[in-house]
Amino acid sequence: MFEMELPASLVDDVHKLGAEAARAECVAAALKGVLDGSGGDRKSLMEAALPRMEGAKARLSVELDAKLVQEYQAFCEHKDLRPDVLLAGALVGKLHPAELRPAAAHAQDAAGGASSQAAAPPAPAPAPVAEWGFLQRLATASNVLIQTVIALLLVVATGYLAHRHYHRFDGTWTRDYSLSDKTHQLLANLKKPVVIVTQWMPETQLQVEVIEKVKDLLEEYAHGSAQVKVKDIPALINPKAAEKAFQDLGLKQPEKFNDVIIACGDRQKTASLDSLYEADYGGGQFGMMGGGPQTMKAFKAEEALTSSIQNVMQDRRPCLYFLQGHKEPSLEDAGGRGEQDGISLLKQKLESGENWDVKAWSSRTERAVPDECDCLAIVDPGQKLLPEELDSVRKYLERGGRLLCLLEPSRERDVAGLEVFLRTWGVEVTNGYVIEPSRKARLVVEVAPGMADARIYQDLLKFVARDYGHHPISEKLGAAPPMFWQACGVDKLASAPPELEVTPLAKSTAESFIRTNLSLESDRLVPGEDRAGPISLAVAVEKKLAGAGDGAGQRKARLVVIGNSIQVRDWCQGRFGASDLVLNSMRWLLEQEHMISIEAKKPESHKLSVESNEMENLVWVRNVSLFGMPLCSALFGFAVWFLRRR
Amino acid sequence: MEASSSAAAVAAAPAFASNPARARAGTFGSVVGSFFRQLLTLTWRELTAYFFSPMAYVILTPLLLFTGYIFFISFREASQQAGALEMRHFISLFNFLGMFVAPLLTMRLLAEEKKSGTFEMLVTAPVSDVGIVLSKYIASVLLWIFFLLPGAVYVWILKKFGANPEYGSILCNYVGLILLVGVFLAEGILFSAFTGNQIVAGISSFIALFLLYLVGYVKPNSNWAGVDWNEVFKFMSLFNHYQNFEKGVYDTRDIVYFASLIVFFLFLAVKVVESRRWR
Repeated sequence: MFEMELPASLVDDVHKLGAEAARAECVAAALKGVLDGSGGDRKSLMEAALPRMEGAKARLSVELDAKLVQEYQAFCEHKDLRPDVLLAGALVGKLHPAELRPAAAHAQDAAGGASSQAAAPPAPAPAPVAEWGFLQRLATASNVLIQTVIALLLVVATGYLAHRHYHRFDGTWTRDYSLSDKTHQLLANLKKPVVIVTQWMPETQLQVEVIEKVKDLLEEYAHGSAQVKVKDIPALINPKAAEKAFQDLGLKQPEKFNDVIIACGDRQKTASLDSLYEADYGGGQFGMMGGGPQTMKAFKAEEALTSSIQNVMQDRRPCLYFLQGHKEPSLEDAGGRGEQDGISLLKQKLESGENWDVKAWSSRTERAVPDECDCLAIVDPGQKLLPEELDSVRKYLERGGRLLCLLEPSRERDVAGLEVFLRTWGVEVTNGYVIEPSRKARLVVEVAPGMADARIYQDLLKFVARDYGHHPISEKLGAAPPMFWQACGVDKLASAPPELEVTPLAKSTAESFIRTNLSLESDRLVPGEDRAGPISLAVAVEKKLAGAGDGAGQRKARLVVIGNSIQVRDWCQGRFGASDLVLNSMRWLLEQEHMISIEAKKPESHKLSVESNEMENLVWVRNVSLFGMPLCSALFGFAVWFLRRR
Repeated sequence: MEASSSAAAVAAAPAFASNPARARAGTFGSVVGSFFRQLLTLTWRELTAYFFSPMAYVILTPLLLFTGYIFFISFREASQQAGALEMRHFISLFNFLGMFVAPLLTMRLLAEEKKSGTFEMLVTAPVSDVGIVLSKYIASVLLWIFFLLPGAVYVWILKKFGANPEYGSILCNYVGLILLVGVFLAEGILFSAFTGNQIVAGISSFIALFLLYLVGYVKPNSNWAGVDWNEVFKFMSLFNHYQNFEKGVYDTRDIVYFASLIVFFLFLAVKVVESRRWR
């Protein structure tokens, strides 16, 4: 008994044939027609069957020759065809031959248009589409065209809306492209437009890497607020075009490349590329002995840029006064007491880089410290300050003033008269040279044999501080330790009053010592003459002023004393860590050290640890990537081809 | 390759051809369920047609050869200089390769059905045109994802040599690559639907992709009608939208852009397939 589920209408038609024998004969003929191809080609059979296959089904049962049935099933299995669909098509061909269109008719339909249809002999059962007139076709075509135009408009509208309202999600595990909450908060509250301008000209591979990261970061700033516009002026365009670009932005063109200029209205601040990252110098000696930085130790651009934006948004520029008139280094050009001995470069840096006003205070002509002074700096006075002048400074401090003192040892004791004054603020100044024999702190390590003792002695006076105290000033010094040269000792006074909070900022090593007898030139500790290290080189003092508010709003006097002034000299600017100590001190004095404090990102190492001489590893990688995987794919392909061929 | 894979699938698909639920009730749930079963069957047939023909391997082998060569060269240079081999730069190479591979994958999809005459049967069968186009598209996307899988071996090699790959960025790159090449494939299917000639479909698809690539470099420097046309052309460029993915950033603008283009091209492809009924 042959049984199969077929379209109910077909089964009914078969049943209408009457006797069992007639039914069996019809089905057998249909099966044979499929097998020998006389019933029609497969495509026509399936096409004839498919419209009926969707309807209700009924079971057809007839007595057939088992061999024929087996042959039919094997045929369907071999051709990967459904037996019921094929049989249904064959039965349609037998019972309703008009519904069965030969393959040639399909080909003709596909090849010919309406005209050829007209010329061709009429098909036995034309498809519904053939009955469509021109207007119906035109209407359908117009409908499709309108749908297409609407779809296109929807794509454009979606793109426009998506462009206006979008979200970004940093998919990196190290959050390389995420701004901190502090930055987000600042950007969300920007009321005025901020322009960030860059002009890149990398000189080293490290700079290329840093610039790439800075560009990515700036892009996040631009996405963070509509008020932030980032403009990159190509460094290689002609100078006039660059000048015009800066003019259009209302900015002064910087003299050197690789600075990030942050501007808001008429205020601008510059962040140099070096200030945006901490470099790892590897085995080199702090860049003083050649070699330069090799890798990025930490990426701190976000802190620098966010602080800069906050800085230019401030309503009032902080005002710094430098004491003048006592043979201090000059604020104007290189001058003062010698070539490149002035502090004009520092002044420029403070004005354009920090967005502060820098002015001179001549205490001989203007007795009181100006009211607008936010911080007073006294840099290595060569003459004694009069008691009245010191009194003005004292009064200034006592009303919540800020003082930065940079001192130098001198053969004449207390030349400026500041030692006594500073003792009242809990600071002990030791007039002598700090000598640093430790190799890890010295800037010059290799000393040629036979070099004069004097030279060796001079080299011992030049060193970097490696030991920092816990203080906002020193914590940010990072990998750029400040350099000292012929520094004097500055320490906390043992009998400092408890209301004075004195914190050492930097110290020399335990191997160092301080020599108060300046006529000695030995490079070793002289017992009885020298005092053994470590020697404190800088201190920060804070005094909360009584009756001037409580808690965070309480006024306080702040004071930083550094036992060396080379950090601010013109000849030292741009050298390793030269002014970081001073700048950090000034920021702390102006209470800007906590304005924005964002943790620097430590770049993840993606470096390969393959030794170049390990050829074996390289051969392995080559075999896997270049030969192994393509060969596997080719073998699979060959196997498929071979199996199908059989 | 079985010329009439989809047509055979139609005949072999029990899900839609004999779906009593759809025939009787026609409720929304059953219609949707039937559609997805139909889609699944057709997609599976398309996919097996890919893998049981040498076609997939003919494309995959040179692809692996090329990427393997680039990987080895990059690896050797990075190791000799003790430098970093950024996997994201390597993966982004695939977006250019996708421009060549996508037309190869899609050119045969509908064009071949037309040439072999099975297309007529396909469109007259009780299968929706959306199902036909979508199944072919999904199968080609799945094949593309399969092509990307060997990339995991490169990541494993980097990990083996202590390069500490950024997995988040790599994943983001792959997502971007699937979306970008997803657009290529959708566009390829559209061109395949237009013509019965595979070569014409492949070449015209490649030219269209190349134009979409070049559009990012068009800078008319014009503000006509108050619109910054540089930005408009930049926005239209497919590869500009891939840049965020390359870095490891998911941006809704890029995702929406790719998704809307995919939907648009597939919509057009469906309309072209439908047009056979009334043209």
